[in-house]
Amino acid sequence: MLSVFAKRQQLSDGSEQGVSQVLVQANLSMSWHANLVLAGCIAVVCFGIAITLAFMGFWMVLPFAGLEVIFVTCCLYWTVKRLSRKEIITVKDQEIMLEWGYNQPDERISLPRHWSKLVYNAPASIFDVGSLFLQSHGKRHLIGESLGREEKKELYEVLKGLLANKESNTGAAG
Amino acid sequence: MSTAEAHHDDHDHHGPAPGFKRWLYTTNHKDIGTMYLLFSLIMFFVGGAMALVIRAELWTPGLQIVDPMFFNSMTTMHAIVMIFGVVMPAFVGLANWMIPMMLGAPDMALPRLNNWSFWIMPFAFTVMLSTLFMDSGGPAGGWTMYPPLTLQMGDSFAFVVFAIHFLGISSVMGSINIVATIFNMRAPGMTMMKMPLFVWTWLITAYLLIATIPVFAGAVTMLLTDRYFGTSFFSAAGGGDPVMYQHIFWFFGHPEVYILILPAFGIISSIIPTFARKPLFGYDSMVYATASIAFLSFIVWAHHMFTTGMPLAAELFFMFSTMMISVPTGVKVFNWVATMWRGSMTFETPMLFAVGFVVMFTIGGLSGLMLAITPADIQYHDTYFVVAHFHYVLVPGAIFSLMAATYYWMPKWTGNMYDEKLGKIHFWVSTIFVNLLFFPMHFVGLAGMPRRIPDYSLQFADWNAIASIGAFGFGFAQLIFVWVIIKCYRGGEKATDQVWEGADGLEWTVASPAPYHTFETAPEIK
Repeated sequence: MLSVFAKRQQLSDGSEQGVSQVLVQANLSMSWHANLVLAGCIAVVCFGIAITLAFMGFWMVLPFAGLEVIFVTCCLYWTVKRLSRKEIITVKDQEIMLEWGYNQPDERISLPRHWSKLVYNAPASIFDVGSLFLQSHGKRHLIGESLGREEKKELYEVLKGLLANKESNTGAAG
Repeated sequence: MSTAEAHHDDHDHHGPAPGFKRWLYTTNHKDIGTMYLLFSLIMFFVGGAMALVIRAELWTPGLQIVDPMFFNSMTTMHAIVMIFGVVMPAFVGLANWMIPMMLGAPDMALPRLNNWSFWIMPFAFTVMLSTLFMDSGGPAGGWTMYPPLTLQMGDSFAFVVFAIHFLGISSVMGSINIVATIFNMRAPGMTMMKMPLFVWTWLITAYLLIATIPVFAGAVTMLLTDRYFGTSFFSAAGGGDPVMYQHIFWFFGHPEVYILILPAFGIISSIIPTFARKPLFGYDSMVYATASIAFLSFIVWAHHMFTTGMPLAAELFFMFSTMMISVPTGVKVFNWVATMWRGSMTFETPMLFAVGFVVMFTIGGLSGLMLAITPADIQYHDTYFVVAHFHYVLVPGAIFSLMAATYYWMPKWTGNMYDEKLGKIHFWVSTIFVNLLFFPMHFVGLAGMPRRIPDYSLQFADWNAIASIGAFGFGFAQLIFVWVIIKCYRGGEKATDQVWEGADGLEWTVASPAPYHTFETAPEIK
């Protein structure tokens, strides 16, 4: 039922239910909780030094330490947030559903299955990673944005296969 | 009807901007790494030119080329440029190029921040170097900026503090990026204790930077407010304590010394196993030794200021804690030698520089041990012996490791092998002249020649002349280095993917030259 398409690919087929899903997520090697512990370790050292100096009258180190700890925490939060955002592409008989979010979908787009077109722009140069869209009624929806060039192409092949498979299952006219 | 189409031409792709804009807007770790490395190479020649002004003036006794104020500006700026403009950016450049590839990550964790952290630097150095053209001259109170002397500087003072703040912001941004990348973007299976030593040493370096930069930022800001806003943090007249500035500065400054050398340890730990064709001896102990050195670097700062006067207990504490650093450092040197022991060694240019590093860095380490002894340090303090010590650590130490790294990874960067013969000539000429330059400084220092002076007594003339010959020889030898780089970039024998027979690591599994995008699919590490 679920295809996990991330830095690691684990595929399973859900065709018996008539629904196939692809989950796209970037590789994240440390949890948010562990990142918080890391930020805490940095904060303890920075504030330990700054507060000691502040007690000795050299308080000006304190605002710099505070700003830095806030900045470190924000950067770690931003990194984890970016890497843990999930994208689920659900292909049903009549519908293609695109969902984005973290633990729950916070953005959802439903496209009519038979009026949707999968468009893959291959990388134009060595600098380019290419792009992948689902296009319907004149609107383009970017998918697999967090993926690199090889993974994008792989996702394109997987989705192309799923769409073709559904096409033959439902016997829809092309 | 649903269809699928593939195109090769569309306006929605994310290619880089053409021309200069590519470099201005790039978020690619390899582009940014290249910019850091080129910037540090340019600054190496800027700082080197300043060193040559110093050595030209010191060639013979007496004042002959520059006036003493400008001489002092040169010593101050030479240090700032070499530390903040050469060694640190070069290591950050290598980190940018290699850490994502060593971890199996597609890029750095914060690519836009990465772009900013680079572009702040040329701006900061333009501000800093422009002070040399001010009526009052550039900063001349030494890179340590001790009050009250530094508070008597001209208008350049505020510009230097401004530039230092920006350099600090750049360093912190770079460090946070490295920490975020190492922790969050390791490929599946790449556990902490499987990471290459270069990544480990950079992780610890980044932590040191994050911990100490606010201290430095606070110290220079307090100097600024003492000068312009009537505060008295370090002004004895207002009840402040100038010696406390030295404590605060060196609390930053000594970890800074390790910031300048720990990534070098990582580089050497990558190169020696490759050319010894053996795994690194004692990987775990190397990691723990690096962490120990980092920890100890926080509790030894006052060995820079034994002559300011401190209680006997403090002198003993700082003397013994400083000596303790030789234990983990000794572990490292032992492990490098043990890795080479009975290895199937070949001596290509990177290995020559690595072996040169081990030998000459150890000389610098031994003179450091001499300086750690409080009564001896009181004799050596502010003499050329100290100059010899830290230059042995930083030039045949940090700079040689950077050259080793360049020769080692250049085939991966360019796809071409460098000219081995020219590389070896570069090594031998550099090694001969660097020793000619810095070894005599031990003798004149022990004989009592003070540092930071444009003139000296006649008895020091011979060794100073030899040192100056060494300086010019070493300086011109670096033109060979530039030529090797240009030649390698332009072409040459094609490099294989693995490049070196004994090379091991993820970076050697990608094509040579490394493609613009690597490890978009994370590898599985067994």
